[in-house]
Amino acid sequence: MMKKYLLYGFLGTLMGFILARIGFANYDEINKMFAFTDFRLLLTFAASVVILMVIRLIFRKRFPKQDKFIQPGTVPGSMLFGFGWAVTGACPSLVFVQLGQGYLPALMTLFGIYVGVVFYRKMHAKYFMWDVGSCSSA
Amino acid sequence: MEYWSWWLGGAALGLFAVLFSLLTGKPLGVSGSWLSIARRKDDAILKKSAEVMEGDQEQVKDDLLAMTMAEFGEDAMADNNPQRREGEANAITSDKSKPKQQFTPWTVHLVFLLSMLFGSYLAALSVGSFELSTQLSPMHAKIFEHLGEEWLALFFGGMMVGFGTQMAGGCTSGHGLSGTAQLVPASLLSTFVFMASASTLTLLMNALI
Repeated sequence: MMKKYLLYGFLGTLMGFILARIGFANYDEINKMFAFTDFRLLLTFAASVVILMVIRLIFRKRFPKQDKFIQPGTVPGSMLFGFGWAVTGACPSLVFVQLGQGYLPALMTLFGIYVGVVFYRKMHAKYFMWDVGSCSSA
Repeated sequence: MEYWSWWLGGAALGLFAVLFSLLTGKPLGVSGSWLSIARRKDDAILKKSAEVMEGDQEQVKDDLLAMTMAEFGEDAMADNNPQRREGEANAITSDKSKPKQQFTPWTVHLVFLLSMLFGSYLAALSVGSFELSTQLSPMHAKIFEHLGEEWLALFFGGMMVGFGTQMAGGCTSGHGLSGTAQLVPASLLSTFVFMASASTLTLLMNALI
C-alpha cells in the first residue's frame, strides 16, 4: 500500500510541475487561450492529445480504455464546468497548481469545488441517478 | 516565470499521460479523485466490494443468484430461461472487457492531488518565481474589481467546476486528454462543450470590462 502512496505522490508532483511550467496556473494565460488572443496553450493541449493518441495507437494493448459514454449530464455538466473554468481559471487539477504558485484566492476555488462535488453527489442520489462513469485516476 | 513553448509543453504533458497509464493501469483523470475524497465515508463498502469482485468468481455467481432468489423468490427465478439466467450471471462475473475493480483508498487520491500543489511549488522555486499573492491575476482583478467580489466569484466558479465535472463524468484530463486521445464520443462532445462555453463566457467578460 505504501508503494501506491509513493507512486501517486510522484505522479502528482510531476503533473503539478509540468502544468506549472506550461503556464496553466496563470489566469491571464487561460483568459488569452479562451479569448483566442494567444494560441500557445491550445497548441500545447492539442499536441499532448496527438502524442498520447499516436503512442496509444502504436502500443494499443498496453493502454487502458477510457470507459466513458454520453449520458444526460454530459452536455449540461460540461457547460457548467466551462463557465466555472472561465471564471476561476482552474479545473479540478489546476486549482492545486495555482495554490502551489502562491495564488491565495485559489483557496476559495478549492473550497467551491469541494462544495460543488458534495452538492452534486446529494443531487445525483436524490434526483438524477444516472450512471456518469466518472473518471478515476487512482 | 517563463513558460515552456507549446511543443515542449505538449510533449511533456502527452508523455506524462502515457507514463501515468503505464504505471497505474488507468487513464489519466482527476475528477474521480475529488469524488473519492467526497465519498470517503463509503471507503469500507467500496473496499469490500472490490475484494468480493476479485475473489472466487464461481462463489460470486452463486451469491448473486442466491441473493436474487432471496429478494424476488424462487418463482421469479423459475419464470426465467435457466440458460439465459446462467448467461447473465456469467456476464457479471466474467466480463473480460471490463477491468477488475481495484480499490484505492481516498487518502491515496488526496496524496495525488496535494502532490500537484507540491510539484507546482517546486516549479516556482526552480525558477525563483514563488511569491504569495492575494490576487489571482491583473486580468482577473480587472474583471472582478473588488476583493470580495473576486473571492465570491471564485467560490461560485469553483462550485460550477466541481458540480459540472461530476455531472459530465470527467474533466480536462479525463475527457479532454485521455478520452479525446481515444476518440471517445462522450469525451469529444464534452471537450467541445466545455471549451466553447468557457470561450463564450471569457469573450463576454472581456467585452464588459
